[in-house]
Amino acid sequence: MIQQAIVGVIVVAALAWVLRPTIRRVLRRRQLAAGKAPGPCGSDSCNCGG
Amino acid sequence: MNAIAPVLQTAPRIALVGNPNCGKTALFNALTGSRQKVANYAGVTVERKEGSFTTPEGRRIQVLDLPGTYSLRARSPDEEVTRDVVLGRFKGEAEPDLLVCVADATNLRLVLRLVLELKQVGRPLLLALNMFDIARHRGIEIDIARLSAELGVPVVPTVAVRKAGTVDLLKHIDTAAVELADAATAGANTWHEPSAEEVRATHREADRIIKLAVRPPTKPDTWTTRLDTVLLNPVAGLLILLTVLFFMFQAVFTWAQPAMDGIKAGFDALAAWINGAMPDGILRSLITDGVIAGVGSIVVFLPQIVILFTFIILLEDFGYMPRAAFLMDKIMGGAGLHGRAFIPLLSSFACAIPGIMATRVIDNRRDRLATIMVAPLMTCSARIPVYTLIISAFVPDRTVGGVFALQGLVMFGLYAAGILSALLVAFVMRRLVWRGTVEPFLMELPAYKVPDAKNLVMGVWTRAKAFLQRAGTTILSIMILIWFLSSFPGAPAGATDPAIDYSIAGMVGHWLQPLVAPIGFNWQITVALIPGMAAREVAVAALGTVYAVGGGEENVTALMDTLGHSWSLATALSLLAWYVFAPQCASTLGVVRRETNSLKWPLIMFGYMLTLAYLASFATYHIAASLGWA
Repeated sequence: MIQQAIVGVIVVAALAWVLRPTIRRVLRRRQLAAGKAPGPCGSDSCNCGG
Repeated sequence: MNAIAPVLQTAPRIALVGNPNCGKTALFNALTGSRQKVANYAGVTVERKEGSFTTPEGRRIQVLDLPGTYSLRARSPDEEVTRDVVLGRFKGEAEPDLLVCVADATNLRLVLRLVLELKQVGRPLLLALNMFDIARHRGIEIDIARLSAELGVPVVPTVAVRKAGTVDLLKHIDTAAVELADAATAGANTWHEPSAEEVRATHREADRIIKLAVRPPTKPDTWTTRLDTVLLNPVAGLLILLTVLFFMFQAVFTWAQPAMDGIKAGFDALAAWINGAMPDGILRSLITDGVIAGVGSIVVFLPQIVILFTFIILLEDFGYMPRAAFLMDKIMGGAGLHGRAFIPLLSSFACAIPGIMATRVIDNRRDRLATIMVAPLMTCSARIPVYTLIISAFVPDRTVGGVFALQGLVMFGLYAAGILSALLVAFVMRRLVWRGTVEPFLMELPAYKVPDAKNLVMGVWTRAKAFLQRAGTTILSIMILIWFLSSFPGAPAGATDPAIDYSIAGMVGHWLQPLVAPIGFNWQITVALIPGMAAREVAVAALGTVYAVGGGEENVTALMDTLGHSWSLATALSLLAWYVFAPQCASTLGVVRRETNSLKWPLIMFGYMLTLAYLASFATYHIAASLGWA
């Protein structure tokens, strides 16, 4: 049972790592939509100082 | 100045500008401690790179490394980046506070024209006379004070690869930073696209300054000239180029073997220890069949990657690569590729991504697109594990004519197949899609240099680290998932077939197998090809895991032996043919989309490469089968 739990955690972590770029993209899109993240350089909501 | 003042309070920004191959990136690395790629040819840097450092007075400075250019009259996308950053037109980028023009001290004539143009921009300017040691060694005498007086800018001699002169340069940067903070030192920007007469006037002024401040050597160094008479000879030069490449692939196979055996033995010992120390169960299976069999089957190829990049970096540092481009120009021109395509295509031997980015040095859009479309056909380092695995399993380890390793010959043949198919595809594309003449090729041939040991070690280390990081992160994660999909659900009670046949991966593999049956692939290859769409080498690790889960061998990294008696020779050759063409790299397709700013080109690339891969595998498999190798 303990072995299965450990394996389950490792597999979920591996899945999260593989899906990391997609998860990041979705989170960023949500933050942008909510106005909580700066936009890309040159856009109205950019705050990089350029 | 209002926009600049707040920036200055935090970190003044300097931009490194200069001709191609004058040592801007070496200086950037010396100042910031970065490890950006440097090499002895033009076009290594194609986009701006940013770093920072602290001066002796404790001032934090931001520094930009810009692509090389001969003038602010930009002609190619990489030169446009430099022009736009210098003129403050680059979107999202503040104008640099100080320009540091980096010059090749052995070839001042070209850079002085750029210095005269940069002066018109109105920003504070410094001239770093790089490679000063080589200039002195060749007997070139430069009167620094006179040069500085004539140009009206401070001049600092540097040897960036040895960090010489950087202390003096930092002092000047500190002084300039104080002046920037104190007052508005920037003048008005009077630069404009010069007319032909203005260009000629700039040339005359550069020549005048050269006459006053530079004395050419009384006894010119003829080492480079003498070497070039042989290495650039149309017949002897090409033969030498082929011999160099041939020797490189022979070395990749023969020299790497002892280290590969050592790594393999290490992973086997680790698996054996875990098998002895842990009770049988799914956790042990995950560690040995998933992690060790999967990741181990990739890491074992590290010595070959190291040897290949040692050769490539040595040739780059020596200054041989532009000569190779010169020798290949006629052949590439015949295929409709621009001479400047050689460096991007050469970079693609490491990875297609920097190769595709390096196409920015090509100004004509059609020439650039043709190069981008064929760059992934060059044999990237991710194919090495696939090729080596199959060659080691199926090609006998013997010599031909008592000298050449047969396995090395096959590897050389696969690299040649990649080059020939790239030329052929370019030829067809230029005839069918982008008709028109190829523009003439002009490229500066740098002087030969003794390769720098530190650059070699850092370059090889960077490649090896990237390979291991990839194996330890992305490939490890994918292998854990492959193990899971190959292990669950388990076999039902009373099942007679191997348990993996009942797993999710087994079911998917069996379901898709009819699609690839005509090219001789079994269901295990089908399973490996799916995660292999992310990156080519993942397929090798996936095969390692699938066969380890299915077979349960004691020796988990014995994938070569397993394949040797599980596949026919026809299947092995078919898979090799597949990998010459297969578009199995999601990152490359992503970069093509970014570089072309369109989804159309990556889709076309994926489609044509997949079609070629299938057709090549089909033909290979059926020819091999007709010879009785199925």
